[in-house]
Amino acid sequence: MPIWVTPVARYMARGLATTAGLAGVSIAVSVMLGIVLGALLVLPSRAVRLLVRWYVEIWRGLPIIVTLFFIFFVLPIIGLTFGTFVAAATGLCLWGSANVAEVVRGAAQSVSRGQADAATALGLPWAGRMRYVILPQAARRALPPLVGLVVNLTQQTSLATVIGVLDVLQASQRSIERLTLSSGATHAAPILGAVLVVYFVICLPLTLLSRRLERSL
Amino acid sequence: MTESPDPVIELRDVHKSFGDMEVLKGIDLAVSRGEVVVIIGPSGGGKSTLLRCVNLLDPVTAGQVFLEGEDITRPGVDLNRIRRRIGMVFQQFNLFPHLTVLDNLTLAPRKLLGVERGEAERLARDLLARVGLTDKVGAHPRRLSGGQQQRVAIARALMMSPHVMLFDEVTSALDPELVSEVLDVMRDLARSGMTMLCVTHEMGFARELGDRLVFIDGGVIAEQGRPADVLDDPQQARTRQFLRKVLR
Repeated sequence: MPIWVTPVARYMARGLATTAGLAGVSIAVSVMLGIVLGALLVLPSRAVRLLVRWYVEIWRGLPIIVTLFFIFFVLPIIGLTFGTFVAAATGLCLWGSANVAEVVRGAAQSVSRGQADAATALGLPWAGRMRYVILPQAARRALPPLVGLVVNLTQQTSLATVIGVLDVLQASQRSIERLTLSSGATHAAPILGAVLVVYFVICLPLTLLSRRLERSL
Repeated sequence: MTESPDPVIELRDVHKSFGDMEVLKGIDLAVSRGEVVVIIGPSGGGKSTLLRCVNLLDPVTAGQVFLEGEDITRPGVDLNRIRRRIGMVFQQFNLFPHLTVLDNLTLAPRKLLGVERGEAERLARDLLARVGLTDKVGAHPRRLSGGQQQRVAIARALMMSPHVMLFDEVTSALDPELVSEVLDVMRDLARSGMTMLCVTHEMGFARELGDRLVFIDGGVIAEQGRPADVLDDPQQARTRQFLRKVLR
C-alpha cells in the first residue's frame, strides 16, 4: 500500500464522522420539526397556517447553498456568528423541515375526511384527532417520501464543504491538494472514488428501502 | 309535533348554507327521550346535513341546536365535550383502519374519559358481544365485511354511553345480504330505549321501529307523522311522488 493512503484515510474518516454528524442532526431536527409544522399546516386556524406556509415556501424555495451563504456570511453583519458546523446544520434543517412539513401535510390531507369526522363525532379534540387517528395513518403514506428526503439531506450535507465544514468531501479536497503540493501527484481518482463509494453505500440502501415501502403501501 | 315533553335534541329554525347554496332552510325538530325518529327524503334534500348539524360536525349558519336543554350553538360551548353525549354512525363506517376492533372501541373512552384499559376492554367486549362480534376483537377493520364493520362502528359509538344516536344512511353502502344484520342491531338498540335519529332508505325499518317519520325535501320538513300514516297515506304531493319511487 502506498505510504500516503493511511494518513489520508484517517483524515477522511474524520471528515466522514462530521458528515455523519451533520446528516444525523439535520435529519433528526428536520423530521421532528417538520412533523409539527406539517400538523400545523392542517390546523383550522388560517393565521397559523399562513405563518407556517411562509416558513415552508421560503426555505423550500431557496437553494440550500444560498441559505448557507446567507447564514454564514450575512448574519455575522448583524452580530449573529455561527461556527461552520452549526451554520451548515441550521441551513440543512431549515430546508429539511420545510420539505418534511409539506410531505406530512400532504399525507395528513390524504387521510379521508370520514376519519376526522368519526374522531370528531366521538368527541376527540383537534390534538387527539391528529395524534391518534390522522397522523398514524398519514405516517404510513409519508414514509416513502420521507426516506427519500433523508437520502436527499444526506447528499446535501456535501454542500457544507463550501463554507468550510471539514466533511468527507472537504477532507478529500484538502488531501488531494496536500498530496499535489508534497509529491506532485494528486491521487484524485482513488480519493474521489472513495468519496463516491461512501455516499453510494449510505444512500443506496435507503433509496431501495424507499422504493420498497412505496410498493408495500 | 315539535312540542315534546323531554326533548333530548331540539333544532330551532336551523339554516345551513354551503357557500351560496342553502341546504337547510329552517328546520324545527324536537326528539324526545327514547324516541326513534326516521328521516327520509330525496338525495340532496339535506338529510345528512341535518344530522351533521345536530352534533355540529357542520356548524349551523343560523338557528339553534339544543342538547338536553342546553344551547350548543351559542359561542364558547366546549363542543368536544358535548359530542361525547351524541353517538354517530356513518354510511362509510369510518372505522380507524390502523387500529384493531378492540382499540377502535377503547380509544375514545380511554383518552377522553380516562377509563383504564382493562375496564374499557371489558366494556368493549360486552358491546361486541351485543352486536355479535365477540370473535373479531383482535381483527383489523379491513378483515371484516361491511356489515361487521358497521356493527363495530355502532359499538364504538355506544362506548361513550351517548344519550342519543345519529345514524346516517348506515346500510346504504352495504351489500343487500348484509343489511339485515345491521338493522338487527339497530332494532335491539331502539327497543332498549335509545333515542335515535336515523336517516335511512329502509322503509321497512321506518315502519317497524320509527315513532315518527320525517320527510325532508328541498331543505325543509315537508311532512311528518306516524310512519304508517305517512307511508300509507302521505298528505303532500311531493311525499307521494318520493314514496312512489322508493317503494316501487
